[in-house]
Amino acid sequence: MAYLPGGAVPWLPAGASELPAERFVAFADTNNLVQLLNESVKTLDGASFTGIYLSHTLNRKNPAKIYTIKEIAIFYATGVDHTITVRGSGDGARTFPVSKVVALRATLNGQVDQVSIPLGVSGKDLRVQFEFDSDEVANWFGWQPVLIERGNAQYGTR
Amino acid sequence: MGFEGFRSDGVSHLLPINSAARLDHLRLERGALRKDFGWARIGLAAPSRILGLIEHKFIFQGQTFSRLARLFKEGGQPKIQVWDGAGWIDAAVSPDPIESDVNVSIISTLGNVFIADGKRILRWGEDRPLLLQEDDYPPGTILNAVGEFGAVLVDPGGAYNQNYETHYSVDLAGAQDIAVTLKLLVNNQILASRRIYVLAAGLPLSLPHELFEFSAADLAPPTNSVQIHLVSITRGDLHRTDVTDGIFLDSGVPEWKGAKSTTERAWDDTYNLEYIVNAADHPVTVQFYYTRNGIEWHIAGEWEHPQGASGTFTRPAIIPALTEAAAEWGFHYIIGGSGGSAGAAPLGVHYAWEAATTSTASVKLFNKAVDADPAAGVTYSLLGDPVSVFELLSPDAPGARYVFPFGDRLLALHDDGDRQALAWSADGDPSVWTGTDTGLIFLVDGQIDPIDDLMAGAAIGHNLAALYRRRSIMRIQETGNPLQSISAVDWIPGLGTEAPFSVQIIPGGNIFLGHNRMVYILEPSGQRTPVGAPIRNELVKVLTDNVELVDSAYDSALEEYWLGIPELGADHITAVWILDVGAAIRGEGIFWRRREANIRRFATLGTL
Repeated sequence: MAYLPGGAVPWLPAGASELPAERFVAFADTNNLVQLLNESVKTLDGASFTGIYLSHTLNRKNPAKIYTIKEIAIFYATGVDHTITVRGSGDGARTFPVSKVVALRATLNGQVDQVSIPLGVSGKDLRVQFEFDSDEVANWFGWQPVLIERGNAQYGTR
Repeated sequence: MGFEGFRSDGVSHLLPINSAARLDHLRLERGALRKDFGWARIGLAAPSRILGLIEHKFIFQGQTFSRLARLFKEGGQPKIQVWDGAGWIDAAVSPDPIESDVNVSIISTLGNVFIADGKRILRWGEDRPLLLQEDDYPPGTILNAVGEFGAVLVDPGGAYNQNYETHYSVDLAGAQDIAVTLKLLVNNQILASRRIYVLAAGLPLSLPHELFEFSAADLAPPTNSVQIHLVSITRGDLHRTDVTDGIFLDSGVPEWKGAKSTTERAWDDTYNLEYIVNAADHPVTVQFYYTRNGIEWHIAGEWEHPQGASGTFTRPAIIPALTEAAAEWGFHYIIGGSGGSAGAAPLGVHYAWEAATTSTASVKLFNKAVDADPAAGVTYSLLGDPVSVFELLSPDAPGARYVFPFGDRLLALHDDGDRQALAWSADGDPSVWTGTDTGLIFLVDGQIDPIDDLMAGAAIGHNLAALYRRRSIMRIQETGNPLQSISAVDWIPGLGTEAPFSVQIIPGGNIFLGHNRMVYILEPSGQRTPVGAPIRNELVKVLTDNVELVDSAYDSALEEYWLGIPELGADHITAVWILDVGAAIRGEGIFWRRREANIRRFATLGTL
């Protein structure tokens, strides 16, 4: 076997030599393929994937009472218009009776924007799940639920 | 605002609302949440399960080389392929097997990749063999006289490390001291000289194979001449001792005479009479005579020895130009009294003279092809093409299950099933496992649980490495004593690991999955910080079997620790937990996230 050129990373995929990374995590999968984790790749071995965020219980004041998620506010910044899916559960994420696709508009110059999503899900263990099902990058800086204790006044958790 | 990552260490409605009950394929960056990176395949699949994946970096002649290598079995034999930018190319097949489909311990260190499977240690490296080159002096080149020389042209040039040797023999003979001076000229510049000086008593002397070692950067055509010159021959004085025989010159008076054995004139005309005197009871006077014609005797010296001055004496006498063939020595003594004990006797006459050509020197410059000399006139090595070598590291190396570098050594855990064995190679040479500076010890004592197997090891600080057992941690150091180069002492009882490949070196210490399913950061001080609390409940629940399949990686750029686990007894990694190590070290928080993937082995690669 002849020597390969030194001083470079010969295993970078074609067209990826400009990557700014100083290291890569690679792994061998169960199909005997070697996979390279890469900041510029948006799929998993060519297949799209979904990022999942599931909250803990939102109703904290009294777990025995029934509450309603009135709406969810998201604070984000993104360079490209895209959508996410927001789901609400009232039974501790066993079921998600409400699912909404939400459009996130591109923000300018890194400005943090806000979008509010009405959900209207009730139960004793309120959860919310976010699906990042688009390949576009969005940075979320926080989110905030607005809950209603049934028959009582509205309050927020933060 | 901000996200705290995954947490399962509490009741859901009491955990921070900005922590997550599930955080899959998302990443946390400076408090923000975003979709995680993707991954892409590198080339085609291997024909069988990949047992090891490694980045192999090595330095050769000042140049750094990088390889991504994967190890699998083909036809029962372990095989290594490397990625060349376009595809996986075969690098080597080892004639020695890997016993079963296990996740091998595989590391890149000391210029090679080392692989341990529990039965043996294999080495994979790219060796460049040295090819011997030979150039001869002209046949029959023998230097006998001052000014003679021999020359050889070196072709091709470019010796490995610019090292050359030129070979010759020396024969010296004769009766006088002799000194010979040789000079080595390379491209008409004197690079070395050698003086061989031999006393007459050491002659004849034959030096059948001598050499000059030299370094030359530009020894290649057209400036490629190597010469040996005989620049001087210096001969020493000849020595002679004449012994007078026991002939009485006059009746009743003990006198001796003897012939001068050569007509050579003594250097400086000095002749030394050696004699013995017994002056116990009377003074004794010794007289040294000589004759040029055997008839007329002359006194050369007279020495008085008072009563009591007994012993052996040497006295010089100057006799001008004593070159006659009939010259003789005479010896006479006079006793200053009668009776008692007194007398004298000669032992010899010593003198020396210069002689120009008695001893000879002969320097043969080697020609192997025609003269059948033991070596060629000039020998050197050229660097051959690289050869991929995949072989048993050493028959003396233990049957290790885990290997790791420490100092300039390779350390090995286990020996063919003995799980208490710790062995280390010689300093700087991982192929040497016997003799001074190497060792094999069994870390069993009264305080160690017999099942407390050695599991893993990693350097953790200056001359300090952590040695992980199932239920404890030891620390090891280099002692500086070649008779026991490595010392191991108990360090942290009650905490170990069952996942040898979970250990990673991170800034300031190690990180590992404890036997209790807690992830710890271990510092050289012995301080261990639990950083796995958010995921511990999850690991206790799902990491139920096949813990030895746990694998990990450390991403030094993003400061992330990747911990892959087989969930619910799976035969491969099904989930990866990722810790923001940088945030944990800086005290900013403990942030874990998760990814799902079907994984065998991890590797971390780097650019230069």
